[in-house]
Parts: sequence; C-alpha cells; structure tokens
Amino acid sequence: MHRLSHISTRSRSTLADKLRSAVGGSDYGKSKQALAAGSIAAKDENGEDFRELYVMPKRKLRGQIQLEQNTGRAEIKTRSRFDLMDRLAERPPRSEEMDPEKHKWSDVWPAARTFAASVVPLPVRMGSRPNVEKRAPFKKEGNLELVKIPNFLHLTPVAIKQHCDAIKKFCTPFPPELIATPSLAATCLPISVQYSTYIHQGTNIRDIRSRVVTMIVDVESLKLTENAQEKFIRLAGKRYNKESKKLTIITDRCHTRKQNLDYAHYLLTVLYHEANKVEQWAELKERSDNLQVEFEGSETKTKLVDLIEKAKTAGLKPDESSITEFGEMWKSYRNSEETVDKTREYGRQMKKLLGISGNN
Amino acid sequence: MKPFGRLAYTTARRIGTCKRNVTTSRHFSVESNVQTNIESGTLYEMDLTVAKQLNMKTHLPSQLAKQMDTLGEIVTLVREPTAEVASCMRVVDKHLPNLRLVLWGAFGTGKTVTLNQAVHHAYKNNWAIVNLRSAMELTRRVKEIEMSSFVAGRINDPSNAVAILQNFKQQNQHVWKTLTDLLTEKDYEWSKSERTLKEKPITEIVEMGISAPFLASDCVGAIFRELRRHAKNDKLKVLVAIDDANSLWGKTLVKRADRTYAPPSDLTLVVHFRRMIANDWTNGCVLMVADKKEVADARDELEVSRHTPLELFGEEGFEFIEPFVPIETSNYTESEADTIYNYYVSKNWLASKSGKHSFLPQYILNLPIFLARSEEGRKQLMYLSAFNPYYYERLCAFN
Amino acid sequence: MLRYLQNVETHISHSYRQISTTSTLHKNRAAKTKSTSNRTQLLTYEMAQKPHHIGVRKSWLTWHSQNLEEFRQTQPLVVAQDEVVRRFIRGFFPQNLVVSGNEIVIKRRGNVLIVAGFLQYSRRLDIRRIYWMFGFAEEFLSILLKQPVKLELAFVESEEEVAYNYI
Repeated sequence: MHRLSHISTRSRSTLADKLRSAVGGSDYGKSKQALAAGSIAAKDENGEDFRELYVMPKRKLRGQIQLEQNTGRAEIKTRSRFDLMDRLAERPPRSEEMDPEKHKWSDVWPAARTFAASVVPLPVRMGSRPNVEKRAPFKKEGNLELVKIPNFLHLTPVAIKQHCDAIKKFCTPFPPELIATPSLAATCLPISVQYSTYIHQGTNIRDIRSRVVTMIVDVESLKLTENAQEKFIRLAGKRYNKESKKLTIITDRCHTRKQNLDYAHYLLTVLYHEANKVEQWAELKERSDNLQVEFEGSETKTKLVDLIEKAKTAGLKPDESSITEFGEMWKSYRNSEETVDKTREYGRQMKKLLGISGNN
Repeated sequence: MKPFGRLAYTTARRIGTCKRNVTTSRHFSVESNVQTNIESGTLYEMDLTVAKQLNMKTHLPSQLAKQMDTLGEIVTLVREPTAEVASCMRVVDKHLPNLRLVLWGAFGTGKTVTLNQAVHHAYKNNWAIVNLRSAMELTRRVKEIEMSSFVAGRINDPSNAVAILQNFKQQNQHVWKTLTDLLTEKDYEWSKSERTLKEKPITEIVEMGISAPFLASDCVGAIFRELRRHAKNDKLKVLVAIDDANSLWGKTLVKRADRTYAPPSDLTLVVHFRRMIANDWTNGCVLMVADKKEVADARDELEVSRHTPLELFGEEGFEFIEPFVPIETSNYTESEADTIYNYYVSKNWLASKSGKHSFLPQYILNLPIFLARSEEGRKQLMYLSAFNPYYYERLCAFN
Repeated sequence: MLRYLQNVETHISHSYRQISTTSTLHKNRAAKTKSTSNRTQLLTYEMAQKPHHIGVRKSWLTWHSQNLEEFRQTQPLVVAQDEVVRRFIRGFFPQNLVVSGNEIVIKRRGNVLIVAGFLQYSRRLDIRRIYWMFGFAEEFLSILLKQPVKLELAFVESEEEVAYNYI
C-alpha cells in the first residue's frame, strides 16, 4: 500500500511534467487517438466515434504558406548540416589536422580551458614513475594530472599582443615626464589613495575588507609655516612618518568605501586648517616642550662653553671651532636611537673639543 | 676577567730571559711619576700591602679577588681605557673644572678593573681618593633608614654612611697627614651636643662619623664639602671613583612612610655623591662607570638593555653629568689575549698537557682541559671566550 | 536446574560477536588497492599513488579558495556543491564512467564551476545523445547550484587508456 502511493506521487511531480514538456511539447504522452479525436471525445449510442466531415485538409494551404513566406512569418524548418555525418564520424585528433600556416593558435584556444589532449599538438607527459629510465611518465591522452592543473595555453605571447593591440586604441600613453623624473610624482601628485577589492570563488561579491581606505599625503606639498608644521605633526601623532615626511590616514570606520574616502579627505582638511590656527596659549611653550632636544639653548652648551674657557687658562688646547660640529652631533645623539657607534663618535668629538688626546 | 701579569715579566721578556726565570723575579714599579709608565698592553702589578690599604679585595670583581688569594698577587693588564684615564688625570689643574669620565662597555670588558687601576694610579700620585664600591648599594641595599634631622624629607642611611667613612679613612692613609693639615671652614653642629669647631683638621669629621652612626650621613656630606673646597684652593687633588654610577639616577628600594619607593634624590648619600660629581669645583677628576646592572632585568625575556651612557643614566642623569668624556672598554685583541695566556702559563695556572693522560682517546685529549698549554689550546681559549675578558678568565680557571 | 541454566549461559556466551580493537587489525586501508596474483587490477595514476602523496605526486581533485584563511565565507557550501556534482555525474552517465566516476576534476573560476575529467564510450558513441546529455547536465546543475556550470569532460575509448599500471 505504502509503495503504490509512493509511485503515484512521483508520477504527479511537477519536475517530471516540466521535463516532459521540455522534451516533447504539450502533446507528449497523450495517445495518438486522443490527439486525432480532437476535442469531441463522446461516443454515440452504437459505440462508434464521431465521423468528422471533411471540409479541408488539416494542413497549411499553399497560398497560406506563400503569404507567410512573403510576410516573413514562416516557420523555417532547420535542416541538419550536409556534412553532419562526416563530422560525426570517428576522426583523428584535431591536433593532426591543424596547419600552422592556415590556423592561428589563438583561434584554436581563445579562452581559458582545461587541457584537451586531442587539441594540443605538444607531446607532453606528466606523472611520476618509480624508475623514470625504465618507463616514461604517463602519456597525455587520458592523463588526469594534466587536466587538474591550470594551463595558460590561451596566453601565448602572440595572443597577448593581439589583446593589447585590440585595446590600445582605448588607451592614452603614460605621461613620459613622470617616468623620466620620479621625484615629479611627489610634487604633482601629492596624495595617493589605496583600497582593495576582493573576488571570491562563488556567488558572493561582498567582502567587508574592501571598505578600508589608506590615504598617503606628502606633507611638504602643503606648504605650511614652521609653527604650523610643528602643530600639524603634533596633531597627527603616530600617523606622521618623520623619515619620509608623509602623513598616512587609514580609515574604515564607515560602511562603504566612498564614505571612508570622504572621511579621509575631511580629516586632511581639518588637520590643515587647525595647524594654521594660532592659539593664545601657544605662547606659553617652553624649551622642555620641544619635539626635539636642541643644543643651542641647552645647559650642556653653557657648561661646555664654560669648560672650554677654563680649559684655556688651565693650559689645554681646546678646539673651539668644532663646537658647531659637536652641537649637531649632540642633537642627533639625543634625538635618535642611541647606538654604540654614536657613543664612540660622541667620545671622539668631546676629546677633540677639549683638546685631550688619547695617550701621552 | 681581570688579566693579571707582572711588569717584570714584560721587562724580562724584552730583555730576552726565558720564561722560567720570571717566577722568581718580582718587581713592582717604583717610579712615582706615572707619566711614562702607562703603556697599554703591558702587565701591571699592584703591591699586596697597597692593595690591602686600598681595600681592593672588596672593590675588585669577585673572581679577581679570589684569584688574588690563589695566586698571591694582583696583576692586571693595562689596556687602552686605562691609558686614556691616565692621560685625562694628567691634565687636572686647579683652574680646570673637574673632568668627568664615564667608562662604558659591554659585560665583562674591564670597566671595574680600569676603575681600580685608576685608583691605584691616584694612590701612587698621592691624590685623595673617594671610592664607592657600587652606587647600587646606596639605593638598593639599605638595611635601616632614618629620617634626616638636617633637611626635612631626606632619608639617612647610617650603615652605608659609616662604611663609606671607614673606606675613606682606609684608602687615604697615604695622604692622611696632608688631610690632617687641612682645616675646617666653619663650625659643624651635628646635634645638640656634638659639634666640630672651626679650624680643626677635617679628619676629625671622619672620626666623628665613624663613632656616631646616626651622624654619619651628615659627616659624609661635610667631608665631601671640605674636600671640594680644599681642592679648589689647590691643596690636594681628588679622584672620585664611583662604580655603577648610573644607579644614582635609577630606582631605589627604599620605602617611605606611605609605602611608596623614594626617588634617589631623597637619599642624603645620593645627594652628597651627586654634589661631588657636579662640576662646580676644580682640581679633581670624577671617574664613573655606567653599568647595565641597574637597568637590566633578568626576568624580562623580551627586552635587552643597551650599555651606552644615555640609556643607562637616563635623561636627567645625562644632563647632570654633561659635559663628560666617554671612554669605551672593549674585548681583547689577540696580542692582549696572548699576554694573559702567557702569564697564566707561567704561573702554572693553566693545566698542563702531560704524558700521564696519554691513555685517553684523541678526541678527549683534544679538549681544552688537556690542551691548555699548547698552541692549539691557546687558540681554543681565545675563540671559546669570544675574546671577552670575563669569559676568558673563567675558562682559564677551569682548564 | 540452576546448574543447567549456568551451563546454558556459558554455552551462549561463546556465540556472540566480538569487536577486536587491537592495533594489528586496526589498519588504515583507505585508497590502498590490493595487488592481484595475475595482475588484472587496473590502476589509474590516481589510484596508484598512496594517499600521503596528495600534494606531492598528485594534485587535488577539487580546487577552491574557501579553505584560505580570509576567504572562508562559504566553505561548507562548496563541499556540498562538490558532492552534489559528483553524484549527479555518476548517476547521469552510468555507462560512461571511468573507474566508478573517480576521474572527475572540479575547478572554479570566479563564479563559474567547471567539471572536467574523463568519460569512456564502451562500444559506440552517439554524439547527439552525448551533446544533449551534456546540455541537460549543464542546465540542470546551473539551476541547482545557482552558478554557471560548464562541463569539459573528455572521452576516452576504454578504461585501458587511463591505465597507469596493472597490479
């Protein structure tokens, strides 16, 4: 009982109906009799079918056909190709029929395709063998390893050149001035914006990482005054790189890339205008607030000058002219990373300044 | 590792006597003017009695102190830094503000040894010596504290102060007479009952401090003040030698009443030593050692501290000691290592390669412990220790 | 009576099935074919390599990027898709399979799913039937997986073409 109902539900499935109709049209499955009987299916009292009166043949008349042909509404029956059987007969692999003079490879393999052994004319072998000397690797016909790997047969140099030639008319040349002088890029194009787009294998086109926008600005091109530049650097904080003198803004706080880009531009504008403002309390700045330790106003300098003066009376021969050189060295020593070499340099300069030699 | 050698050994070598004779002849430098004697690369002996007076046993690094007992003599190698220090000490003058030298260098390269050699040098030239074994003792090894009655908020350290005064007394025996001739400038009122009057010899302050611990810290300050004053007046030259000087600006383990750690500027002894380093007095030389001990933390696995002066003294300390002359100590050169090697061989300190071990297989016989006296052993010792003086000495001690 | 029951019990206890869990019997036998005495067992290149050679001597049969760290949005979906495709091919081309449908490679290029591999034609090849079946399979799978599916299966005369070795 259970089994029979199971079959009947399946025969009533919509998918089966769809398949049926896709293959044979709406009349598929109905018996020929039912088709021929037309719409009248009743039988008379003797059990005989209705005898239809012949009026005109059940086909399109010649005039009708001609009308349809002239007006262009004729249903043209497609005829199969005349060389169909030749084409369907068993033929040698295509690679043997190709002629390099007549056929171009880019026509044979125009797009990316898995490896077809009959089409590629190269004698390729792939696969490992325990002893390669005794038995060569597996042949190309029926070699699944060759099918697995991606091939680039559609990207021969000739094909690439063809592509480029086709696209070239839509392109303008790269400015030769930028190639000649690389530093021009920094002055002409001071802002560079970077963002990424991500492609997935699958139906998904969204990736949340594509909203991140990085904006790199060359601060020199903003042409700030010295005070404004210092204020700019303090405001920017970690975003400013001392060595390359570039400001880097990385934003991802908005939902879309466009919004993040606008926000980055907004930040830059605000920074610039704030840096140019001079506040009243900025006059209270002291030496200890400086970003770098300067030699000029430092206690070290006064003490050093004093020491040199006294050294002269004591009989040493200090070298006063090298005090500016010492000042620069001292500034770089205090403001950058201390290394062993820098300390040695410091010692050497100090000894030179005070006129003390190493040994007797 | 402190290389020990003998000046006589080098002179003998120059004359061309063979090594065997060296053990018998013993000289130490008798010349009192040191101008021509400090040559880097030579071995330099200190007399044992002098060493005792200068309290070398506690001031030298522990390995060398033990070696002193074993070999019976203190012999060190004079290297570049000592020569530089000696030349700086030579220019000290009554018009010149005190010259500050900072010895810096990697671990085990001879900072403390150079300091002690300089102390010995000062001794020979009859300078007054103020030697502190380690400023870390003042900041970290404080057993008991007292609040100072002299200045509110300062913390006294009686035991360390007494130790300093005793050390001072012992080390300056050679100029004690000169010191007794120097007189105090004013009355010092230590407490209600104790006082030192004007025009008394300054050695009385020292005695006073040693006898009364609770006054000792103030006595230290007073004696330093007097020394500075007399140096300015060209009565005597002063060498201030402080090991681990960067601890004067480091961290302390002294707890105040409200259970926070006191900064070093709250300790009287630290304040007194800082005044000695300040360059407002003349006719003296300040020799400091910048040591990593203060900053390095053995438990911190991620960070390794540098051994350069700015890093170790900190910004505040650095600005205080500026302008100074940094002097670097470094690893041995090959000739220096050779000198030490020859010294050890001559003292039979290195184990010998003798016939009684010939039953052992070759790969064991090739170990330094058996090869030490041969040429190959010499090379192995040099490279195993990577020319670091400390590790060289340690290797020699075991081979 | 009681003794009789005890005897019965001991008799019964010998007849139940036992599961052995010793290590000698607990071997891993996946993907390892046993050799025959007269070397009739056909081995394709795939079958001939032991499973630990994946990535070394033989590549993967499905390629997709959902195993990468930053791209794992639809990882289980892709695994299910692969399984659906393989089962469909195995079921739809019953006479044409090579080695029970193991020689199918599934690649993905953007949104497109490409099924490549080998099918065999045993006696005759009715090309029109094959074209129709291909078209149907592509259409069916595209509607099912909601991604364009392309079939790039190649035909091989018999299984001997893909034979690497006979064990």
